[in-house]
Amino acid sequence: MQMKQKLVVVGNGMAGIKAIEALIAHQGDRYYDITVIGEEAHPNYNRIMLSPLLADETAFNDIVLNPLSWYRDQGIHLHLSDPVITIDRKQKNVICFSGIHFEYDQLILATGSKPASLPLQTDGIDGVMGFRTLDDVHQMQHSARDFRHAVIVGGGLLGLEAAAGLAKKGMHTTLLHRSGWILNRQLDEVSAGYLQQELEGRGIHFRLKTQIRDVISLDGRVHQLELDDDSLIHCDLLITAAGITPEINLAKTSGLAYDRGILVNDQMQTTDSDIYALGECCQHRGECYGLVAPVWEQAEILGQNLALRFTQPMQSLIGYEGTRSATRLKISGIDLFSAGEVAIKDENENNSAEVLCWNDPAKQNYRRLIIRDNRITGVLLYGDIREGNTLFELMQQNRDISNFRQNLLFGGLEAALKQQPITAESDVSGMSGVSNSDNAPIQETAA
Amino acid sequence: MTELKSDTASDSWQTCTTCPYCGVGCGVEVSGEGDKVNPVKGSISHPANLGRLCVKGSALHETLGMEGRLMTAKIDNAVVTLDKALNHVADGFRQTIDQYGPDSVAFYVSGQLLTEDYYVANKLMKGFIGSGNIDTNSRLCMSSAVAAYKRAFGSDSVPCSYEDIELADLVVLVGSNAAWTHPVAYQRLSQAKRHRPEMLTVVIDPRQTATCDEADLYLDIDPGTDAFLFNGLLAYLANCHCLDHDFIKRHTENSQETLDRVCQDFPNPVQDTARWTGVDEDKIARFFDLFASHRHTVTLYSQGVNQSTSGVDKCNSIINCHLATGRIGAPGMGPFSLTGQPNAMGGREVGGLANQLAAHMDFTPEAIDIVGRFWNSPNMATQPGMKAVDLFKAVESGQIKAIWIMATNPAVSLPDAEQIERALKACPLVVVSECFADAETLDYANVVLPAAGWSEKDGTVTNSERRISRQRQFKPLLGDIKPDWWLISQVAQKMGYTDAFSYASPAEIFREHATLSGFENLTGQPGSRDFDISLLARLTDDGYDALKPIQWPVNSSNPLGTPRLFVDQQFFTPSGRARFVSITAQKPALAPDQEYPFILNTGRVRDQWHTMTRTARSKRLMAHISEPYVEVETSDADRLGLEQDQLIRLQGRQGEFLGRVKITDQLKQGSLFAPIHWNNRYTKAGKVDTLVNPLTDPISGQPESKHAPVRVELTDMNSFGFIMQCGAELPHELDYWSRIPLENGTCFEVAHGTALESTQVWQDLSKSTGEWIRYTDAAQGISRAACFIGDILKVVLISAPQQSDLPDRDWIGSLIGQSVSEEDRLALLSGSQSQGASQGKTVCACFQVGENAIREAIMGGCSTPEALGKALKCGTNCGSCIPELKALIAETPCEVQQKDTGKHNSSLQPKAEMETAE
Ligand SMILES: Cc1cc2nc3c(=O)[nH]c(=O)nc-3n(C[C@H](O)[C@H](O)[C@H](O)COP(=O)(O)OP(=O)(O)OC[C@H]3O[C@@H](n4cnc5c(N)ncnc54)[C@H](O)[C@@H]3O)c2cc1C
Ligand code: SF4
Repeated sequence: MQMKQKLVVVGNGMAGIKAIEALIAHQGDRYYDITVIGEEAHPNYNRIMLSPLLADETAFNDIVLNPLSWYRDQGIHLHLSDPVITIDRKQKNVICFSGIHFEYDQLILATGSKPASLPLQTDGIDGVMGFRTLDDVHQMQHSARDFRHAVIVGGGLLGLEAAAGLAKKGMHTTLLHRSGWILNRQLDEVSAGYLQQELEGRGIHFRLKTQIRDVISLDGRVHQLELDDDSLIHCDLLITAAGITPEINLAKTSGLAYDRGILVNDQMQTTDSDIYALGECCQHRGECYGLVAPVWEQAEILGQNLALRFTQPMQSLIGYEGTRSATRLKISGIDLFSAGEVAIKDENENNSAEVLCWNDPAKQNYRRLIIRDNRITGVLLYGDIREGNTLFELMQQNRDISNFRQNLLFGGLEAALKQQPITAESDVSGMSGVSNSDNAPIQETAA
Repeated sequence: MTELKSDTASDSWQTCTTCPYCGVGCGVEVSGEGDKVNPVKGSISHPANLGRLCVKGSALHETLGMEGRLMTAKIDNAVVTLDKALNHVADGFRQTIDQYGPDSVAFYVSGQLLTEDYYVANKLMKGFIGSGNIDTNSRLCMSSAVAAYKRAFGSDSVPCSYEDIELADLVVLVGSNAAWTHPVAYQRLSQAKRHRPEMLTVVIDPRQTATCDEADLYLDIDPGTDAFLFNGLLAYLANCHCLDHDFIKRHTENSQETLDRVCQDFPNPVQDTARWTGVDEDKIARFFDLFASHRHTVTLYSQGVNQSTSGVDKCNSIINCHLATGRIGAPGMGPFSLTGQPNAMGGREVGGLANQLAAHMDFTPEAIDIVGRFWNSPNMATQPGMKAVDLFKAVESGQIKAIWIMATNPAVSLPDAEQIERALKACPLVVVSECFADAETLDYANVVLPAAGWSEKDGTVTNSERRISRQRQFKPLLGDIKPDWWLISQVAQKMGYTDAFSYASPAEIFREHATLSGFENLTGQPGSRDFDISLLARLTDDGYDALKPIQWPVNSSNPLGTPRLFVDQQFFTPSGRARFVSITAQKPALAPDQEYPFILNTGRVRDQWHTMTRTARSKRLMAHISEPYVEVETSDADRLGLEQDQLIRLQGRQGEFLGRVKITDQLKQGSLFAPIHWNNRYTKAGKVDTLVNPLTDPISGQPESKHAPVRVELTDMNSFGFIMQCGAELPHELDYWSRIPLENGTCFEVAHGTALESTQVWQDLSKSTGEWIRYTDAAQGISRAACFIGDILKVVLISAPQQSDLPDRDWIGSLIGQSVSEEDRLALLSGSQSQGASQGKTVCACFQVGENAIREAIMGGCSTPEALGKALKCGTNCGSCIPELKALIAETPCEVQQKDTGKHNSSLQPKAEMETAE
């Protein structure tokens, strides 16, 4: 057996560690000595759960995905609190902030992303921060104790979750959003209205179609915001949640190809065939993701390929084809489900969008489907989101829904689907069943 | 009823009465506790039904609610005291008579009235007002049969009993869908057939009805050709020497002329008949042969024969065949006319038709004298009054200026409904006695009187076999509701006829009626009258209360009643002989032509009774056939491009009808069938009577409602839907609507030329206060909405461009006025309750995995979150539910583990364990 290769992972986050887990699951760890380098001081935790953590609905111990003992048990060398600052591709070395070097044969970049910065001068002003890491949560928790006025910029999932958490902690919370309604990438105006109403009930103030013109500080800390409608509002904690930017500095400085993210092929390889990238830092087939479902798929594929590359030619290995996934909002007591097309843009007249809609304003219950050419292209549920997944699957399968179109939104969908005739493919197998069936009774009698 | 509530006595009660729906006149046992009425039962001891009931009868208790009942009198729509209303009626009639004479007033009554009501009304009109202008809606169903009996027997005498149907070897049903119109009589027939398979039935009908199902031979004759068939039969009987010459010679007259005539008209009886009736020759031959060879033959006939411009002739052509073979007056034989209405016979007995005087007496000088003396009448009518159709023509022309309508809805039941509407609108005084506040006739009434209905009335009725039965009261009279006899007597008294109308009870009236039947009636002697119940004149009040069903005549020679007439071959003609009537068979008056190429036949459907005021209240009955429809023969439908359930319009010379297409093979090409029950209260344009031409039989005055030339027109409906609501405001604005009662509200099936959503009705309803849920599929033009107040479902509005896109109504309908669960609220607008078993609490939000499925998987062996993730996907996305999954694993016993424990500890029984685990 050949000597073990050095596998280095930059980024001790959800993508990097999931890839290692997949590698281990495919018994690939026997080929590698594994090193994981992390900028954060913590073992891998479930970043998604930072929102419930902020809202005091869970504790840190419960969101740790891989405790330190796991790294130890797997024989993984873990190097924390020390970001990689350079890659020396000639020497096949990564160099950390501390100056420590690690050699690699294969390198994985899983550096995630960071909050997009505001087009404003905020450098050196305290109380302006993103919502990405455990440390961010700790800092927000402190601020909530010491300060009163929180302003969140961005009415996306992250911004709403931050706002809900801070409001719950008793801060006077205002959310600024550029568009006409919140979650405009996931919701339509009606459902967004229900959501806003619900969140207003929880003490969040909304300023829609509003942006910050200037940040006014006092004693080095943010103090007031001047908005583009000329109003001034108090603010001693400013959370920027208006989008994320893939973390691609290492790729930039080491000469790997990048666009918005680090460019990878279907095997998650960068332009350097010994360097891979996955997670929110990468860009695959033009797409940068911000949700965990694609991360899981990428990690599975990368882990598996790294395990099998010694026994099988690379091109025979499975490739990643992109992911469509659904969105949820993790604010307890609020359920929404959104996947696929949301805003209807009709560029093609032959295939124009058709909308099915069920609305119960009194109970703030809402369901909407977008259909094109008898296929579901968008699912949006607010309130009672059961069956969101069934609808999502129908969308994924690109299934012709014309036979049960009028049963899609009323519950009982699974039962309705069971009554549907088998699909075209299974019909074919049914046909072959018919040709065999002459024999079947004879076999039965024989038995 | 208040007495019954005393705490000591048990408040349960029981009584026997009769079903108010059809001429079979079944006995019904009703019981209850206090106000509550239990489901009714057929009375075992009643000879008409011997315990049986049909669907309509067995739903009687469902129709008893007081909602929608008329409880107060009204003048010009304002509530007044009953006394004031009665004074108004008496004054109005009095003044009209004083000014324009007795023939300027009229009563239009109904086969729904009890004999006592009928008697008092007839007495007032013919003996005191002095006019013959009282006619009844029975005119529409059996007056031809009456006239034919009279021509043949000299009296209106139905010779048979139901028992004869069972005793016959051959039963011929002519123009009678007995399976639906006389269900229990038909049940007796089919049961007898099962007992005696050699018994044969022949059905003669242009429409292949439910009655044909068990028939041995079915003759699909062309509409209106019955008389050709029976004339042909008579010729055949003569040709093949099947006549009963002895009987003909000794007990009949006018035979020679009649026989000569048919033999001349039908030289080759089978072929000629086949040609005239449009039936295959071999079928005709078989029928003729069956008739010739079965002495025990009963011929049953009803509306199909009667409702014709030559209805009397048709009936006589049937009777001729029975006389020619001597098949009358013995068990298992006879020409047997089934009446449609529960008390049409009672009406005939009191003489409640314009051309009768009283007690089976006509307007002869002797009869006028007899009755005048009996009533001590100041002012006897001396000539027949106007028959229904003419009567309403006279109302329209202004000849009749005051009319009192009792227990019937002429706007629906008479031909040319539009003429009736015009007539009633034009009439200065229209008095209506009614049970239900929404009856259509009320629209035209100046004075409305609240009349007692079934369950509140006390009296007698006579069924199709001459059987007099008691209808008994078992509910109190609420509000100002009064029995009809009382209302009439009051008006009579207020008109000044105090002594003659001072009745205290129906028993008193009945005794007078019975006395009159025997008054100067010399039983057994020439000139005697068939209707004689003089023995019952001696009934005490108690005896009347306890009266057992009995068939008239009931007199000293027949103290126990008379199951069969003419046993002695004595008829009520002056000669005592039955009369042959020579008939020239005639085609219906109006033939189809270019403009009106179809022939419309009309009739009843099983579960509806007349114009639905009562039966429409039972949801169960409406479910059977809930919208007006037109049956169209398959090839006609193909030719016209009609589809099942499509809405079409029938256009006749007089009016139009909107209904849904029912394609059938049971009609002849060129024929259509539509039911008679719908009216303006129940549908947009569903009154077939508007299509029926007011052409009548010259003798009986019965209209030709079985035969109307019409044309079929497509409708231009582009929006279909239904409205459900707790109330019942009629959506008149819409191009089509049909009303179906729901448990707690009303459903309207609707259609419209343009989008329903843009109509005023729709928009108004959409504004109903409450919480609305809405579903739209704009691309397909589908919109559905429901309105709740709290959890109570109040309004449902559904529309689509196609009928087939509408959801099921049953489940939604059952929820109207009910509290609706969250789950059902979601499913509601789909029309069906969601099937999926409740998944329990959602544990994995990302993949919507419920607790129940997870527990099941754990019991099936998934003992780690990873295993659950593999099986159900739960916990594999954001992972936030993994702690909960672990908790569930810890608390849910796993089957596999269970079995293991079982192995280790043999004293444990795994099966029992499982049960506790669940
Ligand atoms: C508050 C919050 C809520 C979320 N909720 C959801 C949700 O409900 N559903 C969902 O699907 N997704 C959610 N997400 C997104 C999800 O967490 C990310 O998609 C996922 O974490 C991406 O994984 P990653 O490994 O690419 O990046 P990360 O998990 O961010 O991991 C990247 C790691 O790399 C480290 N790093 C970066 N640069 C260097 C360097 N130079 N040297 C060493 N280490 C470095 C970072 O410090 C970080 O620890 C949420 C994210 C946040 C912040
Ligand atoms: S057969 Fe006629 S009388 Fe008998 S229960 Fe039915 S409707 Fe009533």
